[in-house]
Amino acid sequence: MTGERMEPETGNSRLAPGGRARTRREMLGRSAVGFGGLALNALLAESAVARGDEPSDDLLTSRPPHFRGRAKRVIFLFMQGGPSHVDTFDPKPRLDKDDGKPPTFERTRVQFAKRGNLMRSPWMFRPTGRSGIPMSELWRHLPEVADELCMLHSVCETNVSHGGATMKLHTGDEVLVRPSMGAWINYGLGSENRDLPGFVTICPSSVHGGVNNYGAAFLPAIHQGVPLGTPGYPNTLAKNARFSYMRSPRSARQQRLQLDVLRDLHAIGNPGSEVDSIVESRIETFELAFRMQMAAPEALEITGESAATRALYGLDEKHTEDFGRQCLIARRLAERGVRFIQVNHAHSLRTVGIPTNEQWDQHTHLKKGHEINAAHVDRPITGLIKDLRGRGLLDDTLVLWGGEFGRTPTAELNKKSRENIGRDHHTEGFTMWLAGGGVRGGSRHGATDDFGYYAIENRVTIHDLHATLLHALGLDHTRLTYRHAGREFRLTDVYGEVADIFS
Amino acid sequence: MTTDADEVTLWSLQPIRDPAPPAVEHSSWPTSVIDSFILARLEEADLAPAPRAGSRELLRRVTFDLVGLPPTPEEVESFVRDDSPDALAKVVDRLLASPRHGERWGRHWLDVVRYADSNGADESVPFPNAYRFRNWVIGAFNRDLPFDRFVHEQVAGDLLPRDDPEEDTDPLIGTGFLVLGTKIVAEKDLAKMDADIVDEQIDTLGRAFLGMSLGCARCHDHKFDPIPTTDYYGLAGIFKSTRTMASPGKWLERPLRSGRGEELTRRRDAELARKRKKVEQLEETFRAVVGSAGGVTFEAETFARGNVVVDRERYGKGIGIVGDLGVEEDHVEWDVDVVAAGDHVVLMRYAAASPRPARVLVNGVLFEKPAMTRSTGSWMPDGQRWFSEGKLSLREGKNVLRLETQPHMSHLDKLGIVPAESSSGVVDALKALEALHAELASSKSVASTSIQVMAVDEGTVQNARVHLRGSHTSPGEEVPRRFPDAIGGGRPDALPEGQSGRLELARWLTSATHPLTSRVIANRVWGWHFGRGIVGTPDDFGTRGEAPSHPLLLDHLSRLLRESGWSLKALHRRIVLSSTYGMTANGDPLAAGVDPDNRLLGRFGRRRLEAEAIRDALLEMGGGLDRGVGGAPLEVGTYNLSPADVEKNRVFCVRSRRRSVYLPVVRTNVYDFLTLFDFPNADLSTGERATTTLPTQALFLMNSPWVIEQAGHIVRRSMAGARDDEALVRGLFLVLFSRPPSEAETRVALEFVGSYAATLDVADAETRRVESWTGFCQALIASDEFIVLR
Repeated sequence: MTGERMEPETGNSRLAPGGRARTRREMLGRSAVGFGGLALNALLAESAVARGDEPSDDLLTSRPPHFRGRAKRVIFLFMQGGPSHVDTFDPKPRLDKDDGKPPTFERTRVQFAKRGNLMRSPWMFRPTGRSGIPMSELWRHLPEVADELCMLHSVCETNVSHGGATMKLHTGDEVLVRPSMGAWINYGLGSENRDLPGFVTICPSSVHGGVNNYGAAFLPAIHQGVPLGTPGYPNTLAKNARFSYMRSPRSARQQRLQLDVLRDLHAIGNPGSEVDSIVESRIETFELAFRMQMAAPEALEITGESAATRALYGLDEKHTEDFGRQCLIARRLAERGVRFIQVNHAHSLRTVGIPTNEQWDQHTHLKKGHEINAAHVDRPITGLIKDLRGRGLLDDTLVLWGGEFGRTPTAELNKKSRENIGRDHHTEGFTMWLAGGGVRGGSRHGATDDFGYYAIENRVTIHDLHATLLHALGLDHTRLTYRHAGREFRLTDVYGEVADIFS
Repeated sequence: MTTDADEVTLWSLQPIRDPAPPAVEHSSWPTSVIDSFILARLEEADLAPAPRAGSRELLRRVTFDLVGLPPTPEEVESFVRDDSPDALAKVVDRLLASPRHGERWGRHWLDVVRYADSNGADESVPFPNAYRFRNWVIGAFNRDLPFDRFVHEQVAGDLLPRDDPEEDTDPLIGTGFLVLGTKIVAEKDLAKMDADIVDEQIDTLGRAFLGMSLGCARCHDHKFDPIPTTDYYGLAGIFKSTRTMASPGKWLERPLRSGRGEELTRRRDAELARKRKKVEQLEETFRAVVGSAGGVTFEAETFARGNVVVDRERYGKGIGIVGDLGVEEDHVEWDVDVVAAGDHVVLMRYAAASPRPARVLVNGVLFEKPAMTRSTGSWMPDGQRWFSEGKLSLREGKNVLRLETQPHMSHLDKLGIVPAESSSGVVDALKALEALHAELASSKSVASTSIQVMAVDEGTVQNARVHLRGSHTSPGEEVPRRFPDAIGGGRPDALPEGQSGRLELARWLTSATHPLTSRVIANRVWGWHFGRGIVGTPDDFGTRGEAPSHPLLLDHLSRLLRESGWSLKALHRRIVLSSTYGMTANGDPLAAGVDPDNRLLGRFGRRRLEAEAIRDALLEMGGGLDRGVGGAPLEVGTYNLSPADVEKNRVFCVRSRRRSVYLPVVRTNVYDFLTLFDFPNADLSTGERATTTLPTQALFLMNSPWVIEQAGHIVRRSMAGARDDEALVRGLFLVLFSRPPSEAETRVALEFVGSYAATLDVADAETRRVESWTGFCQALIASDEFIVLR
């Protein structure tokens, strides 16, 4: 196959976008076509009916929310393995006082590992920003955007194993295969870009739920997350991340000839007016795919970003380069209307001599491990928030930070060397944070007890977190439903309360 | 909301009727009772059935439908020429007799039973023996195992006698159905794990056989269907009394019960027991020899100092061992009193599945030779073996013997010290022990020749308690084991004492008056033939499911199935030889307007080929399909999931030329070709696959090197028989579409090839020709006429 590389070609498309509304409406209920605006009436009708609205006739707009929400999209910074809340954002002076003593509180019924005595944080905390929200010394850059952050200190009620907790965080269920929150949001709002998928997960992990964490389950497949980079364990490096099958061995001219002959044969084979909806929509997907081949590389191409921007994300330093690149791609996708973007901090620490497979999972080596991990993400996340703010995107982009659970205020048993000591998984009270999208910046919501063990104030269960995310986007979690296997399903099942965190 | 009155009127729970064929006006159209039911509804709606499909269309349809592959051009031509009245019947018999049939229809069933070769969910550990269940399903369809028996073997095959000496038909294999579900293997809450496994079994059984979502009733009385919570826990007791797991995190595998597997296993077990006893005796002798040589043996856990842990529960169950902490430097010291200074032989009894050498220090001095350098094949107590660790010089009185490892330590059970000058008897005894261990190991290896299958067993018989709000931490009243009350069917008055009741459950499912099982499978079969069931929700026959479009026809089909002795092949014949199945897909435009979803079947409904059919057809047309049947699991080499391994899995699938049903289903990592074209989520029972039309599919068809490679194979194969370019167009159309091209199509093809060749910068004319035609063939592959069955 020869030579000339793919380049945008215009003026030769025989497709009239949006010009076939009538036949599209005859689409079978289970068929779906198109990313974004070209989503079919079948889908529009489905979601509209589920949401009690009239189906829209305009195929090129995104779907309206239930009510006016500040956020239009979500960037989820997933910290795989479970960062320790008592070492990052939730200071507990009581741990300094009772360091080494056996805990006096009743422990959770199910524990992951055997647990030892209380352990103080190896890091000092200090107030940050005008709001004074506390952060540990692990964060050197993040204090610069402290007043944008809304801490949720009382996240709770998840599974104690990575798999169960990761699935619960992403889908609301720890056992069954359910649609990911990104899929629900796409189903609820549609996409704003007709040439890109509405849900992209950058460098996802293939374990602890793997594809289930960004799947559509029973929702129409169009809403599923598209991985950027082969899902892996540990995950793919950002510089190697590509969408599958986006690169053509043929030139644009050659592909154009193929699409044209496809259309010609189709016209000869289907004379007359009756057009089968499956057949018609298939032809359109080829045109769409052809456009995606142009749009996706452009969206992922960061060489055009200024040196200042690249530095803002830490692309100039080895330890921040990978996560910084992910964050920068996330911003580029957000700018282009991708609805839900997940950035995954999900590598192994074995290469730096720490026996951790899940990035933040410091059963041992808490000090060294968390220092490495925080250093990876601190500058890129700070840069992302500043960049979003600078471009006017922070108002309508909701940023969510966190892992599948927190870590115990107690040391993991039997790890006697202070240098290598770690903390176990903790499910009953830990911290995640939000920024942008209408949340009160520089605020703290909820609290754990003196030890950081139980969430005791304004508890935010995973279902509550989901209800709150949907609320930020203008979606009522009790009305965002999908009928499957004989009943209506929700992201929040029969639970969920919206947290009072909006300005 | 439902009321009690609705429960009584739920159509699917009414007895199956024996409806008389309805009267129709167009009485020459029906060729079977099926057609009368279809025609009567069409006539009610003032519609006429579409004309009969042409021979080519029909042969292509029935071939893809029954065997999942396209007809060859020769098969098409011979069918077109055969004008005997039973031409189609002969073809159908040929297809049903082909081993390809089980591969096609077995795959339909594998969707329903959420078949996979790995666990999926949180931790995707492999199911290395799942493939035996897959082959058993394919075999069952090929030998037309009566469907009632097929149900019995999946629910209670372990409790049924085997009447066939063949290994791959042992009914025990069928119970893999209950074991294949996704489990949270890392679940720390074992009570929850048990409850979740039972729940998954009930949910799958409910969907697969009853078309009922019983799972809802775990937490509350079913909101819409007549399944109260007590019915759920009545069934839960049956599965709670069934063993699915061998140990936490490890599902049960059992040897085949008779024939080679069982006999070998029995002999091996007896042999192992005999040898283990001998080892025990010899170890006692060994310790006595050490004593009489002036030495001592002592337990490792009597150490004086160290940071090691004592384990008496798991690796040290029954013996007590010392082991490591996992991540740090480990050290352990014993104070050893010695009567006379001099060289001493040090003995250690330890278990290690892989070597974990230790540094040895005596009184602070490092000994040159490391200890515990051997592997004994296991970390467990049965892997414990004595070794001589060499001679150490000890002083009179107290000596400090110290071992250091980093990061892991072998599982050390005992130590021994013998004065070197009197140690010759000890060394001989050790050699005898060694020889016996070697024998034991070779007896153990016989295990690998007995055939293990994923299967259940009877467990501790017990009733379940209602879990309040579905939570296993709030137990409520105990519910006797029983079947759901609202569903009829002949049932025993009481379940037998001391048995789970699974066998009775299996028989109840297919009892003569059971209203659901035969309807549900008849509807599935219809749906797989037509792309849509008579009930459009094949897994939901409850109040929230769709009502049947042709309720009497469904009852008629259920009866046909039962009266033929539950023969699915007989049902296939009836259906595909009907006038209804023979209608063209290019139906009356008026009908399309009145009945856009084609619920009344006024024409044959078009549908996209499944992922497997697309892949298998491309391989077949290019001449590359490997037609091997069944056989051992396909090794993907690894189920680890680093990007490199994921890529290895993909490359394995890309290179494989076997039918898609034989590709491994790694739940978290299914071959992307299959998932792109709607391969079902293997965690869930799926009665109806989604059909999506996505740009990612278009990208695959446009850009996948594999597709381009297959296009090249097809072109080269067709070129061999073509005199000129017109003949080549004709050849490609016959292979891909089972029909010759029209003049207009030939013209368009030749124009394309001319324009495409002009874009190529290759000097060699032959290469230009192949590449241009490959570009054309790829467009044909992408076209709806290839991919949408009509």
